[in-house]
Amino acid sequence: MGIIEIENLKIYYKTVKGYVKAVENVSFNIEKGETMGLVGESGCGKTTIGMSIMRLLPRNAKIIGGKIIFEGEDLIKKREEEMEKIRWKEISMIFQAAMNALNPVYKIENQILEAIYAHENISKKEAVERVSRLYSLVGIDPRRAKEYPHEYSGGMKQRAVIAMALACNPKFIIADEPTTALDVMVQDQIISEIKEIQKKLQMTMMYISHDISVIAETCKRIGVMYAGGIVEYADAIPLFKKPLHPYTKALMNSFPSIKGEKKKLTPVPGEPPNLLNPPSGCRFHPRCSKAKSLCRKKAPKFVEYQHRHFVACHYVG
Amino acid sequence: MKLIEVTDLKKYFPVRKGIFSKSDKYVHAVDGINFSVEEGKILGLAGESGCGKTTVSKLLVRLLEPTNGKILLEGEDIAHKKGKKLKEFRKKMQMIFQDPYGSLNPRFTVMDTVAEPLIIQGIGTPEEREDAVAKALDIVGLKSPEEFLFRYPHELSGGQRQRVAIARALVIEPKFVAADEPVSMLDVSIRLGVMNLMLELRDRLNLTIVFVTHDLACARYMSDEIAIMYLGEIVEIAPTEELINNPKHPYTKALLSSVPIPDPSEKRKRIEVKGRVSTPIDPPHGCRFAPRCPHVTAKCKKKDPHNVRVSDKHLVACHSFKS
Repeated sequence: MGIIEIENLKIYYKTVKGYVKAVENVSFNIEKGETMGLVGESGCGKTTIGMSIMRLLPRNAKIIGGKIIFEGEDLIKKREEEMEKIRWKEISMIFQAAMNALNPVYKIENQILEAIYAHENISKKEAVERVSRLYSLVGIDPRRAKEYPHEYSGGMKQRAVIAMALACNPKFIIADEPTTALDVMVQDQIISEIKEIQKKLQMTMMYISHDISVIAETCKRIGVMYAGGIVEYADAIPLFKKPLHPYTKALMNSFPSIKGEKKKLTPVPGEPPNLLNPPSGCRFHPRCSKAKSLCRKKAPKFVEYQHRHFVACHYVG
Repeated sequence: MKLIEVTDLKKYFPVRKGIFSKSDKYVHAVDGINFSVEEGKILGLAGESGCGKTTVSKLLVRLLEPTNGKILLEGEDIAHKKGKKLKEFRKKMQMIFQDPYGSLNPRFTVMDTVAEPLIIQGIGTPEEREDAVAKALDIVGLKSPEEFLFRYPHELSGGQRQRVAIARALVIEPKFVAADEPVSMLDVSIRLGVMNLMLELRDRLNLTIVFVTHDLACARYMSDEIAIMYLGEIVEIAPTEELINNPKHPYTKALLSSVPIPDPSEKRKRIEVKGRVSTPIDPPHGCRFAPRCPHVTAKCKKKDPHNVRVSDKHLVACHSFKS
């Protein structure tokens, strides 16, 4: 039993040109205390999944079908008032700080306090104390809580956003590209801090990133997304040792590394499809070197090929 | 043959407090750097944001005029050329920018964009230009150019736009190209395609490239040599594999140790560096990295380190290294 179980989730965006089929039949679960990584290129639907769990999708998005089960209850069936109690208290999110996750005209302390007061009935003294504790936890001097976002460096802003996500002791945290806009050395510090905090607080996490090396370093279990679907879901080490889906193989072959021998890499031919009119059958078939006629006709099932190793491909292995 | 050679290159920007006040402070964006690139080679210029790598690339193609120093292109100093003389040199050097969404004029068709350098330089008749444009598009992998010639940027994907930007840089057959983070805005699978294209063009056209990037893995993939910049200075320069496997400068070591590795069974040793990059406004004497360096000595804070030769092509600017 996972703390969060997603079943056949299907989300479309309504646009003037028609429906963008952003998430199509996605299923996975995350065990308690686990860090799960969702990796894929931009537009593959990874953020849409994160936002749907928080119910923060834009207005033109519609959940067409499926279930989001959190601790045994389906979040999709909940009314907005019920969701407000869950959001931030039970499930919270670390946003990319560079993307205006902080309000520039409020002191950071007040922004975190606001989140605490919204969910808990505690005295100001207690709440302020908690903010200092959170600041120490993420590695910022608590005295700086009374400053405005512009007085912070990029790395500090990201730490403050992490502190905010932890404010109400959530059980489940979604981190959406938390280090993408940061410099390498700062990124490295933040990643190791997130890992430490996760271990210390025994949190369950979903880590969203386009960068497979960041995911490789942070997550125990990894889901690879392509064009709205999860094509492969497995534990990190077996996934990297023996990827089963052609897209996973291609993705791993697209990243140069500073370790190992320098070798020529070959990119996946073509470009990701437009999800207004996704390809028939397997959505990867136009770019797949192993595609046969069956791939054009029928979408492959997402099956457990080996223990804890799921894959959606007609010709696995 | 050295195609481009830079000596003691400096660029200072004045800091103004108000519109009318005279500035007495300067941002030392690039502060006395030296390097050269052989014809047909790629130099990777890497460092964190704010280290001055973009300023260097703009100086090299003379979008900025240096405060001091020489830029020799095929032996001739272009550092302070102006007007017609500079325009003559622009035929030999071009730039590729980071953001393919911002660097293409939305009201120009692909044809207009790619032909513009030819028109400005007064090369060829309209028919010849069209042929040259078609050829440039073909070279950058936009097969069947007629399909693209009359499209607008919004009708192209990110990867196609960057290819158009590369075609524009190549259409006048330059010898030298400065590429400022040309792949950092592109998605993984497209990024590799553009990098492979640049490598292939280098081989085919014998181009000389300065490849600016913050991503050391990309720098390694692309370059023959890598220069690491910190606060306006080059702290270490060496042939790529030598720099990756045998770094000497404490900053290079720390930077390399913080690059994530796409393999979960690999454990890397992190070198923690305290503090953050200090301000480039009138920096004090001594090594710029001294306030954060784990091996700092009293000498580092007083005296600028000079380049020490590690081996023939490997230079490091650090007091603690003895050759």
